[in-house]
Amino acid sequence: MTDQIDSPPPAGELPAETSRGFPWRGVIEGVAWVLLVAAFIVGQIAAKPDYESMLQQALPGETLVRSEASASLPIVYRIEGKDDVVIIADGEGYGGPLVVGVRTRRTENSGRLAEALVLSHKETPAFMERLHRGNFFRQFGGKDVSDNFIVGDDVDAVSGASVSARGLTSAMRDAVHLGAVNHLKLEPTWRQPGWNVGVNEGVLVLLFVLAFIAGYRKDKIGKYAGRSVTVGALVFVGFYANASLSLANIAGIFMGYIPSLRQHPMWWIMMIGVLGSIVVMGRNIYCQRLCPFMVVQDLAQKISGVKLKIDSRFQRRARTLIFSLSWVALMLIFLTAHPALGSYEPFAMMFSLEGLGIQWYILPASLLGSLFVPRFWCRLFCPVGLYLNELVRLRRKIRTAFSRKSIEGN
Amino acid sequence: MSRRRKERPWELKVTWTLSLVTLLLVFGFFYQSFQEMLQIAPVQVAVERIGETTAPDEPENQ
Repeated sequence: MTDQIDSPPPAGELPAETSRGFPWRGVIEGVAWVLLVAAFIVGQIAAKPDYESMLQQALPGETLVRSEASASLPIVYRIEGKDDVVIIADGEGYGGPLVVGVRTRRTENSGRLAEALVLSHKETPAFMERLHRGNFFRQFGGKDVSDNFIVGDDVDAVSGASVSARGLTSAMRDAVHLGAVNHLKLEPTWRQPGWNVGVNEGVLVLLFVLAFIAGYRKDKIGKYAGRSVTVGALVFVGFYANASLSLANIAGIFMGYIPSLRQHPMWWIMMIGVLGSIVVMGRNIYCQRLCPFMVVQDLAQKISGVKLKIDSRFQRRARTLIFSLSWVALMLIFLTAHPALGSYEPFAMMFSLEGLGIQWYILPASLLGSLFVPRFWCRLFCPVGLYLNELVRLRRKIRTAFSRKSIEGN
Repeated sequence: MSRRRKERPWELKVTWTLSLVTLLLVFGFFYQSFQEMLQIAPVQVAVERIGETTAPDEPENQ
């Protein structure tokens, strides 16, 4: 057993900036910013897929005739010599837009979904894997075009990938119903989707409320609230909703992948709660209370009972290290316009037990680190913690500047 | 006043090793992503395909 050492810092609390005495720092930072902007522009230009070629490749032997000259989605194609139409439409996924091509075919009284192709998506591979395993795609085969195509109604979501499931269903619904009205000339008998507000959203709001209470009250109530949030963060935010914040979320915002409030209220509750707590209270409530991976690390720490110190040289440079790692990650994300490609965090693997290649090794390494070093991942590698804490620092600076000004004014 | 304990050499070795291993793995992930990025063709074949044949089997004689 090791000696008792200083208690671990809260998750995401990083050491102060150590920028002194490095003459090239400004130049390097400037070049890094220029490269990020360049990568963003190149990525945006290159990420304009040719959906027509994709369809043509996926439907060999068919001749597609574009029926309208619309440049934006949805795009409608007729299949020459057949009574089929293919419509390309998009929905909002967790990582960005999901684009599907849906082929509808006339039946005696109505029409049916004959084929659907997911042409592009920005989801973490683990989410798509979940949809596969949950037989999500199978439920659409042969579906009538007059069906509602609403998750929770005639479509089952998959736990842990519900946002992706909703996005795909929404894209297919738009495409199928457009085909039903314009091509099959059917009267709309299907139900319009309402707000996706349910128990899940209520639970997330409750967790935020409990986190605020735990942050402010130091009595018994605060203690109980804190414990409830810890359990809720692990079970609900982690294992059930798989809604940990990651670099992909931050990069997605920069790339304009902001889901609609109506379709994805959970995303909005999370963002408003996290950013609101920083702006209003100056607290990074996500890292302090709601991050499920932080809870996992604390559990690992409790199990081992070992608290080793990180080498002070390493710890001092943690901020620069995370900035450098997130810079590489953002370059990859911007160049590919695919947030999941640069998101190196092990969260998706931890809570959905699905990952690709080397991602599988990052999870055990970070858990092993947490067995010896308190909040190992948070302190040395987590970009979300770093950025949220930077926002807290920025708020503090602005507040200090305002109070100085008001003192000088008086 | 709290007294800071000095790091022991073996502790530093363990934490350095753990940190470097994780760091190397993260760089491995970047390399893997870079390889994937190079493989992205200008025209992709459909990522996923749902056809009538993939409809769930319905029970017979109902």
